[in-house]
Amino acid sequence: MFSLTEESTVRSDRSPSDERELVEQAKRDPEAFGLLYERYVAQIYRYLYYRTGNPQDAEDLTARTFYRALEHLPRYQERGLPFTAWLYRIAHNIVVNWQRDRRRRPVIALDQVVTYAGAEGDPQGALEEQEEREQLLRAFRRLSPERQELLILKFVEGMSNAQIGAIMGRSEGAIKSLYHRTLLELKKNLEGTEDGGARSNPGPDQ
Amino acid sequence: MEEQEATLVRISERLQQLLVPVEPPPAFARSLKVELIKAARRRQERAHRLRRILLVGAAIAGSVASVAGVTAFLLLRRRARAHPPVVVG
Repeated sequence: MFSLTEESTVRSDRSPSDERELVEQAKRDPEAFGLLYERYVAQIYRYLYYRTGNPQDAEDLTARTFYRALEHLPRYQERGLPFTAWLYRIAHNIVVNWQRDRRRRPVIALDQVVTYAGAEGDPQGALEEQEEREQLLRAFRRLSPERQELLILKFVEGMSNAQIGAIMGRSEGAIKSLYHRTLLELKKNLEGTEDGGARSNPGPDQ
Repeated sequence: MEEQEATLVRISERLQQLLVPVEPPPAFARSLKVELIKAARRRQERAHRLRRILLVGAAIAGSVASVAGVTAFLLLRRRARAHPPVVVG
């Protein structure tokens, strides 16, 4: 049902020893750090893009993530998890602090997030579809950071439950179960939104 | 139950349409790479400088210690010659 994207297939082709070697090299060699950055920048950017809701903040936090990675890399030790798990932890901590600083969650600029393609020549249908997307996005934003992370890794990165488990430090079964609970929560949120939407026009998140 | 499962499948399909991969702007990605490599080089140079300072410091400390050792040895020997031990008997 959730096939791997071309990019993630390429990613899974990289052997752990290849990654380990590059990480060790990057501790000593700035150029190798550049290669490491090139390998993961898109993933981290996408993750932060969906966590923050806009490209400017995603860029800012991506830069902060890699600067912090550079600072802490000499002390990084591989403990059986992929290197991306470490990068995602850094990005997660940075976005959590950023959200705390802002004291409110940003609203996703929908037109920038979704390439809208549908209901051509049917303005009413297009409007309804747009409204549906906005509702789903609002419901997504209300999820806990952990559940948002799971959905980003699953849908944006096209990862399998096993790959997500490796990054989030959980078993494949635990991820499957968390995913099911996340869908149930989304369903509940959407039902609430639809009821609320019938009464009044919903405002921006928080 | 079946109805709920169908709803969840529908939600997951909608999520797939919503959460599409996006790419960082190429200009941003390039300039960040350049900045990071510069920062990595600065860190490396700082580390080399620190290592050199520690090495030179250790060498100076070693030299001072050996000069002090030789000086102490010579002073003790001179004192021993000036005041030879008294032999009784």
